[in-house]
Amino acid sequence: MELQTSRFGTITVEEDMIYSFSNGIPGFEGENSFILISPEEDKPLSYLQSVNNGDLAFIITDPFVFYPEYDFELPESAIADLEIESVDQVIIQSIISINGDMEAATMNLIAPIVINTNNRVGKQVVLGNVSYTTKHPLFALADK
Amino acid sequence: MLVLSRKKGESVIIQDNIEITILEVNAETVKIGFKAPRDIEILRKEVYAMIEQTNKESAIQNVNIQALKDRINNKK
Repeated sequence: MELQTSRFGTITVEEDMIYSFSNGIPGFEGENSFILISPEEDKPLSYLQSVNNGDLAFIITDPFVFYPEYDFELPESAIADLEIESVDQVIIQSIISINGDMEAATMNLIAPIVINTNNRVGKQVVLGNVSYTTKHPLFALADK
Repeated sequence: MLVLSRKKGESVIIQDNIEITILEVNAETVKIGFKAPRDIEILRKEVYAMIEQTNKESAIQNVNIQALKDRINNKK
């Protein structure tokens, strides 16, 4: 199918590119299908583009690039939902938030995007009992 | 919404395997204990609401990706 996006122009989406988020993500519960766009030249940035809404995309990144000490235990509920059997089938990404000032860009470490590459399902997993928040600075800490 | 009155130490059972117990009652705060299978997700609602809000703010609008990339590369 052809997908018109406001960010990336027209994308030809094949069935096997789609990741299924059965409950959407918080705030966008109706968005169940996403594709990952990872241009080589944009590393470590990637994009999570909704398949049903060409205008909806998120900037995501590998959180460990910015926070090497980032550490959490995946809740049992997520392991069950995503049918995860081993760590090597899992991709962890974090959503970046930019409101105006680039220096104030943040990333969400309390709710990582977790994808099972084997069965192509994904979920924004909310971590309980962690000290992480939705807004960790992208730059301030990394530059010190 | 189903409303039940419970005293300290009393519980509610949902679907055989989820047990919610009132542990402590103070003027403004109630301490609640949950016993549930490990695959049941239990969250403070405000955490979920905060994530909802952050996601809405994170949907790409007019973000200058090039500027972001430049800034990331500068730190290296």
